[in-house]
Amino acid sequence: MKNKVKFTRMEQKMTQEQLARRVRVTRQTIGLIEKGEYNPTLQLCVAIAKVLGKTLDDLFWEVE
Amino acid sequence: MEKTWIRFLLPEDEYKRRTMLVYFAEAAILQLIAVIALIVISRFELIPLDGVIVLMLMMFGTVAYVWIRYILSGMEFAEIMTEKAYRRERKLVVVKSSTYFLVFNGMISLYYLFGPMEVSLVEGLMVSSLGALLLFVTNFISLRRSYQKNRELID
Repeated sequence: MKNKVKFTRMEQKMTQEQLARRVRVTRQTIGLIEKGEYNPTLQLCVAIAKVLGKTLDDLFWEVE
Repeated sequence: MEKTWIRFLLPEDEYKRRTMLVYFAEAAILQLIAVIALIVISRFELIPLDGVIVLMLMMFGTVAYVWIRYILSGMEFAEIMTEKAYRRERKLVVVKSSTYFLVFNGMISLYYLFGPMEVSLVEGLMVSSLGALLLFVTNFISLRRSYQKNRELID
């Protein structure tokens, strides 16, 4: 699933490690989500969105 | 966290947890297929079967399946991203395997000194040495796979 997690995280000058620690997953999981190789649960999507100060739409809604 | 009584077997990380659940499910399906095959074999007496050995093989096979899938998945060392961290962890793998080798070989030798054992000392030492080798090989493969996977995911 395509998403804007990496773009938003880099925009906020946050590392994968920092984001991973704040949402209580491993850095590998964040890497997999950013590459679109793992579809996180809604619970994790919400946690990521809260940490990055965005809505689910901002991060995970695909726009053509 | 999923509502299941096997929660105590599952890792904290979401990706690891869900992947492990898939491996457990695959192992359960394979076990079911093996049971069906064994029923057919025993019903038609195609091969003489020893019940205890068959059950032990099934138990070993199930554990081995989940273990091998976990090692090859490259998710064990999820935080090893850099060459430096990889080298440090590789040293730790060597230390862990060597410690296992020394402790178990020492314990077996001590047991042998204090009383007769059913197996010979050489056999005991070979089993513990094989255990140490298996520990080293599996940890090394898992580390290598994790590092390769993580390198592709780095910032």
